[in-house]
Amino acid sequence: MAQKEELSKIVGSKNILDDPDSLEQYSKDMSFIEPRKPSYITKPRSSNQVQKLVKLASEELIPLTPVSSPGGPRFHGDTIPYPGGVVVDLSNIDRILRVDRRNKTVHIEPGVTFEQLRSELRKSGLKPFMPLMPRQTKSVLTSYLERDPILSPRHHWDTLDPIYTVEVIYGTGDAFRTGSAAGPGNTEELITAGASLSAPMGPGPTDYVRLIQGAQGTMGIVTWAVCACCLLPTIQRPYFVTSAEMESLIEYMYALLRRRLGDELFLINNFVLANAVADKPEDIKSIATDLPPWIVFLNIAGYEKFPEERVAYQEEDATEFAKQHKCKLLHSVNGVSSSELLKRLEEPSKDVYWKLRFKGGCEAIFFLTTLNKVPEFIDYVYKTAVSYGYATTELGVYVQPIVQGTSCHLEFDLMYNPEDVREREKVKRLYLHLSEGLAKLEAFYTRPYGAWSNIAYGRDAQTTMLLRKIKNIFDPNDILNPGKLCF
Amino acid sequence: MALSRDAYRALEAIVGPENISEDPAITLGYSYMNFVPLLYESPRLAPFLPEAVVLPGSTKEVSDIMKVCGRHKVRFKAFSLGWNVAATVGGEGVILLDLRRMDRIIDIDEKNMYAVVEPWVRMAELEVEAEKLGLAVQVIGAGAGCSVLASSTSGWGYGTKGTSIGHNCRNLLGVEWVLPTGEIVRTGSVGTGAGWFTGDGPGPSLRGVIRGWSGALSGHGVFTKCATKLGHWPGPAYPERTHELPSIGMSLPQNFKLYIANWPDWDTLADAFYKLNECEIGMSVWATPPATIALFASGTNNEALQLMTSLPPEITNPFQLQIFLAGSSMGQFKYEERVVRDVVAETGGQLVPLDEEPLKSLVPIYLMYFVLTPTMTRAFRIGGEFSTTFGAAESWDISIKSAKLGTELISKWPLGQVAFWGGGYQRNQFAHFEGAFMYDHTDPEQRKATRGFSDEVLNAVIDNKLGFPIISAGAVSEEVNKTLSSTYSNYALWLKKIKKTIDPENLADGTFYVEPE
Repeated sequence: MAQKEELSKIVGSKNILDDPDSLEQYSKDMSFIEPRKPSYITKPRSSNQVQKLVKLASEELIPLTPVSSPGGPRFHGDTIPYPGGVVVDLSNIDRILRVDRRNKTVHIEPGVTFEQLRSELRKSGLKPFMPLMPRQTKSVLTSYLERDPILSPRHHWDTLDPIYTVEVIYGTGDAFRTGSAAGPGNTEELITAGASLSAPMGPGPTDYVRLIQGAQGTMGIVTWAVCACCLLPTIQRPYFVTSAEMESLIEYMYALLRRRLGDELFLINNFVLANAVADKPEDIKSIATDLPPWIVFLNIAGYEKFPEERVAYQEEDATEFAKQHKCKLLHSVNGVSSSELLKRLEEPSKDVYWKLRFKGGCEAIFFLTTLNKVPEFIDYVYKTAVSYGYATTELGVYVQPIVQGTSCHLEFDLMYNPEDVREREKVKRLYLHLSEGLAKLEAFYTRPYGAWSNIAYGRDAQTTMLLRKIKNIFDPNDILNPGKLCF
Repeated sequence: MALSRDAYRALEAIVGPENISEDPAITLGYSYMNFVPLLYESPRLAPFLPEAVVLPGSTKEVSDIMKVCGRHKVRFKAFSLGWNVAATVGGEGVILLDLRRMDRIIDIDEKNMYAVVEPWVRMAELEVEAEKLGLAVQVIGAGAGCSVLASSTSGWGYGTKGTSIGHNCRNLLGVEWVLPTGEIVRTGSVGTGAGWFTGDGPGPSLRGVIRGWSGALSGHGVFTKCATKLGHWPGPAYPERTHELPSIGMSLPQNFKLYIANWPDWDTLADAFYKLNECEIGMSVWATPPATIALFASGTNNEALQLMTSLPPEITNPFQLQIFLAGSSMGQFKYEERVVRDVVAETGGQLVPLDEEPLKSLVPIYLMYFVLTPTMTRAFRIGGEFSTTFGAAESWDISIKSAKLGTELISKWPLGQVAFWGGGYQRNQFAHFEGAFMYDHTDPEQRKATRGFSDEVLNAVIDNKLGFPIISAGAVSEEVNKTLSSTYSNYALWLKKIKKTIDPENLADGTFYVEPE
């Protein structure tokens, strides 16, 4: 109770939850990781309150787990709290602090969702960089911090993108601003002077924001970020690109990536496309059956200056490469239109989250590799799935080139019925088998959630040891999301 | 403080007697460097010589050297191709690891657009090999003779193709890093054996420790390999060279074109810069001080002066951008041409006609400058030295403010003019604009004025909130950290902890990085 009083002094008694339903809700997600109940859920309303919470936790050695998208569904186990710890729910810190049209940036707090951001940016002729149909409650900042891939590889120059700079509260309770947001002076003074706060590096010879991204809240709690935005297109020409051979589609994507042609660009299988566009769950299988097995989605956009001309040359070039690689550019495939998919890509996933439409549950396996190795991974996953009696027709595949094509996010979505205990157990075993097997094929788990942390860090002892030393600098009492990653 | 015989013999046993020397005739050369007057009284020679120069030939040898240094408490510093005073040892009792034997381009992954290199690979070497595969390197402003690895991991990464290829600290992918303890860390995917395609993860990225806006300049170990992202090269595999040395030019394929445009003032130029980058056009959208073309195209100062006076007045307008188009297709090329013409007209600019002499024959030299920056060292020819100021990574509006302020400030100093050089990175996500000036490094008064002006700029940058500046000689130091840290989120407090964690015995020379906590 003493702890509750201390927490109340910081966030107010109305912003602390400890009723059984709330503790239950925050104790679990849809991953296979066992639930763990916190003691309290706090809902701070400002950076200042977050800082006070962290200072208190550091003094009293209270484990803290930050959550920005509590509305769920959550999937990766990274927000399952330390037993008896305190959840810091950041969803009430949800202001869009500033939109900078000239520098194409937006300054957001952790509770801002994609729909909220989309609506606001539209007023300034901008749009956010979207991941693949995020759930409606998804925090933009968390999505970017957790390296969810964005759909436009051309705009993804570096792993950090679209994050530029952040304010972070380290485990010591110290507030810190990264990159060009660090100074001189406070952010208001910098903005008044004409700064965009858009240079991530530094201050000085360290790239502090890189130690925050991908850290699952273990290094610090981010209270705002300045992120990149994209111009709102004035015209768009979406295409499906199909071929009898997946290898041809990969070569085609390489040709586009090299020349930075197109905007949104990714490869999916028919099952993902069917899940993305079907209005009713019962339609998913029939839609998928009628589609070609592999589809590249390519959107060519024109912006404010000569949009028609821009689109025209890109269409001409994209068509020429399609011929060279024996691919076809189509506006629709078997009744599914590319415009319909584009519409869905521009907004968060409506109603039921798209990965849950088919059976109510989904376990995703994703990692980084290079495009040329994708067929080898797919072959392995399909063969393994068959050996487990899992229908490959119910297995989603999503290939998203990132960092302008130097690598790609490869994702396998295992759909299942979470109410069916046997099916759930089967998928769990398959998931663990695949996770190990893919690592042997050189899958790189850059976002090592749950079981992947042992796989990723077990293969790189030197990085693990150094990361633990670095973590000790910023969170010496190990209060921030303990038990995650290699910490 | 001579190296102990035990330590010398232990180092010799690692690299062989032919790859170690403590002869002053050898060690002296490693302290004769550019930019020395910015930090020391001497015009060219830094005050400290390495106790010995060691030439490791492999990562294993570097690691073994670190272990010997640990046993014998010997401080060390790594040296690749060297460029300025920050490459010299910062005190006595420091050995230098010259990495010249580690000079291989290990791989160019054509499809996935990256190269893996060792420390002594020059930008020119990699650019030539990359062009054969239709790829291009972000060659930094210091020139094509610089190390790709040092630019990416340890030093500076800004240059003329930044808008289309990015900044080298952000182009960095996997890295092999020997810590001062001798441990070998491989960051990102290469650490798990998955390849060099990313340097980030698993989880938080150690790239964050490796470098930020500036680098550690060997203050936390030695980088022995790195992967760097490459851009697209839409030109010929074997570009046709033009001109005779000392001028170096490149003929233009039909999908290449150079535009030079002038504006009436900084503000209209700024608007044009934003619009051009927003349209995502050009291999380069850059501002080079107009008169520098005379340096690039001449063999002597007299020739440069003659050329300067013969150039038409529109080429020396200070409010100028050079826009180098390189279309991947003729469709793209024509689109970009239309954008350039429209933006220039819309913002009140004027294109400089380049189809008549004397400018016509200078176009290939400009082009070579944008592709390879082979002649940047000419900046040292006029007075023996130059220096640079401002140059924060921030918005282009901050860059323009810097240019206005710099022009005003230098008028009080006996240093001639400050000329601004720079551009945007990643289609103007951020920009940098350096105020450079040349001076006579043999004149003590000029050296004093250079340091005085640099100090004044540093204070003006802080007062006017113009970002984190390029520090004199491009590196932080204990003194700089003391001056800046409290103004920039107390960064040095964390930096000191990082240094202490990575280098507990303080063996890596951190003179141009930080001293430990």
